[in-house]
Amino acid sequence: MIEKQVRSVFQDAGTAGWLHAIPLAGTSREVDVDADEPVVMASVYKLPLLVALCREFDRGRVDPQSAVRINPASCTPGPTGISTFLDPITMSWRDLAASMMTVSDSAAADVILGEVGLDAVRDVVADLELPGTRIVGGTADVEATLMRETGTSTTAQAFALISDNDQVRTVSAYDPAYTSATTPRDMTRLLSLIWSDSVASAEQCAFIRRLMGMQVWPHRIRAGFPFGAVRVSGKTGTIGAVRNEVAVVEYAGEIPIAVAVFTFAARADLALPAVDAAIAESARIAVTDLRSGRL
Amino acid sequence: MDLLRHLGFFVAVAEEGHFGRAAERLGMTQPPVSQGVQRLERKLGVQLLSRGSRGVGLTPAGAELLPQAYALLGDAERFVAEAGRLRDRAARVGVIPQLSSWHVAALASSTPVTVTTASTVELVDAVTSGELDCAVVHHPALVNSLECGPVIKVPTWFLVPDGHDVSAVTDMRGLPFATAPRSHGTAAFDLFADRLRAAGLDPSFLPAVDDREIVAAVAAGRAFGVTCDPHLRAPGVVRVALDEEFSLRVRLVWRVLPPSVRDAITAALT
Repeated sequence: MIEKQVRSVFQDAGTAGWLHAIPLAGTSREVDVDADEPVVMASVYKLPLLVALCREFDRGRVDPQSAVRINPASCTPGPTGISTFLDPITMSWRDLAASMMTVSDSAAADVILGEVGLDAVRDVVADLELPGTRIVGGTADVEATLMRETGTSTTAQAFALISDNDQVRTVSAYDPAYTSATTPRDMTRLLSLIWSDSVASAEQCAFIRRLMGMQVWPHRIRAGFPFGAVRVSGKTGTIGAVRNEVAVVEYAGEIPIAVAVFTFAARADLALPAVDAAIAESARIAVTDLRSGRL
Repeated sequence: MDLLRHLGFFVAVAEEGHFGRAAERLGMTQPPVSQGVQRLERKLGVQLLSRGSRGVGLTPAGAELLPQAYALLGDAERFVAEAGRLRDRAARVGVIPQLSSWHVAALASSTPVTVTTASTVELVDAVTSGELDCAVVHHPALVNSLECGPVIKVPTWFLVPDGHDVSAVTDMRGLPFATAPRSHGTAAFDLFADRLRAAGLDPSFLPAVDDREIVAAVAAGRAFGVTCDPHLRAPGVVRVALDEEFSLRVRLVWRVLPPSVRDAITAALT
């Protein structure tokens, strides 16, 4: 029983986990581990945000190649991308999108969210019929709430507090009822729509797939498929004990498989390689079960 | 209408054969008893008692219904007694084997409990299924949808074989760590192992479920261990004070539990 196997992988890693996997053509088979439960999105929200930006490209409201000047000092703090820079930069909208997707650049994401607006992201969610998905804001909003709830003045202090194993903190960033939330099934649906050129123009859908394929993180779903001739195109999401990734796994000559894995660890530590490995293993178990074999 | 109360009147009058004596037995005056029985008869649409010059007797219907009135009253009495037993009974508490006998005694002497020992994984299941009222589990752990108290840090000591000179965690290099197996609770096990590694010790593990097994392995010179028993002394075993980061972290989990029991258990552990 595949679902049972996936559950025991989560349990061994000391994490709660939710997973949904479907082939992107042909069959109605699926792997469903509480796939309709609400889960915290974290940076996975950057995927519908990218869809909203690409629709603006299609409508001609935003020019992908026009330059944006950004001062990192006034950006959302974060561990990657523009947030790590010291000096002002000029970048095109499509390169900002690349930074947002390939290294989960939160500063870039908040600049993009500022341009397209939250309503445009919500329109994407409504239009694509993702009933379990609700976007409440960007990274800056989540971090502001986190600091307010923990009584801290920097995100570093806030994360230090929620990573303490001696305290059990209930912050709204951990509660799907209060923060941006989705379901594993909604996310595999979104992936399948992106892979069938249905969320924007074919050109922009190809752009989204390309960026997802260039994501740098090797430690989650990618680690489950360390083989040649397999492409993993994904987007991770991480906040405190929450570790997620949604991805499409493509073996050469086979039907692509969408897989969405969301976890919430018992331990509060900011680095838990065992949980990242469990995401890889659960994805491999689910995808392997659904593989069509060489066509 | 309070059916049980009125059935009580009916039974008393039937047994005494007299309203006055029945009222006396019930500790009441006669009018409410006689009115009560009349109300019962009106409600049922059946006459239960015949009131004649020679006293009160049962009608045929009353004679037939009397045994059922006895049964109903008996059931009610048992029902109330059972509820009281549940109210006053000892809370069924589960504890992990790492919690010392000293702490279990502290807990048991503070509130009426029956204590079961099992792994964190088993305890969470038992509380979820209602087999136990609450449990003291190793933190961090997956607690599903259970209610949880705060993290309690119980001070611990290293137990090392006599003759080992230990002034730092790294001095135990080469000795296996005698501890409950990882399957008892993977997250808490991994957290402790990571703390040891961060401090410079990457031991192999020797399964030892409780203080008795740990002391046996340590006294034999085969391993080091950890205890939270503040009074544990044993031949061949040396106690070494531990940094607070190696404390035993526990949490009380429950589904439904009176706050008084919750507070007593928490206080006993802190």
